Amino acid sequence: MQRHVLNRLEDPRLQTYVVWGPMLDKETEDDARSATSHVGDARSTHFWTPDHAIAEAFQGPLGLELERAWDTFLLYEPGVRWDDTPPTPTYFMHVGKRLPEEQKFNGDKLREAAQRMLDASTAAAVD
Amino acid sequence: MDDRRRTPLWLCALTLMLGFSGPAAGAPVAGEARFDGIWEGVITYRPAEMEIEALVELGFDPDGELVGTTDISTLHMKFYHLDRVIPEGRQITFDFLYDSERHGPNSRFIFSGELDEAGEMIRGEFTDGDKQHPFFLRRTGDAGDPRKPRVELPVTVLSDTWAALRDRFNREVEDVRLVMLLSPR
Repeated sequence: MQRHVLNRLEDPRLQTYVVWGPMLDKETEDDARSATSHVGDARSTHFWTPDHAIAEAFQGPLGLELERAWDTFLLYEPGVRWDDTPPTPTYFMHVGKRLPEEQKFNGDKLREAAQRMLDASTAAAVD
Repeated sequence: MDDRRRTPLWLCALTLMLGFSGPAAGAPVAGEARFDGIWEGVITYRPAEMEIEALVELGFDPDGELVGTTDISTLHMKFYHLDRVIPEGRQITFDFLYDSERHGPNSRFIFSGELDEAGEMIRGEFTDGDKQHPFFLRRTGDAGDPRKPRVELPVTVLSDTWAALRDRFNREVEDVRLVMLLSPR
């Protein structure tokens, strides 16, 4: 992630929110603090949640029926707001979920998707 | 995680304090390939999908033989003993034994590579079971150098309404936003 997305996309209009949680039911807040060094970009904000509620809340927006939304990467274009329920992402990728193969996590593809959104945002600002 | 072999403290102390304190008998002379040092790089299992960061530290023991350790954070390895270090010209092989869930106890994982002409990069294949994966390691320091400190960032504990995340998400509504839901292990 750091290498393929954040290091190669230096645009300050990209914000990253990392929600660390107990996907394996044994992670701790200390594990999360330690893991932040792997996503050390200045545009990153880190959160810890001790339960699965947020991963369950994102199941619907991602079309997941049985699996919690851990190990997912959700991109939102400018303008999308989070009101009462987690918003459906403009584009997302996953690891090991029963979801389309073409959305399986790939850092290069995720970077390209983010770049397209940034370019569209630039174009909209110019128009 | 499976029970893993850890480098005994006495070996760490011996190799770092004695073996890595400077050239010893058997150390390369000028012009020969120099493998001692700290090397950092990546093992690529699947490009842009699964890439493992690795650090290898090689130095000389009192007998002038190359010894070393490896750090692989995804396997929770730090100063993990290298079982064999075998240089041959510009080629080098080093490996470690690990209790693998897939391959069984004491499975051997092997780095086999070649030092480039500048002496700053080792490229080769990493053997995991019956599969090989390309790796590179770039020289980043001398044997015995302290590890670069890992910088940890502040973590906000989310309330049950996730307000901190939601408010931040909406405050930055004019930006492209990437939300990642991850395990820290």
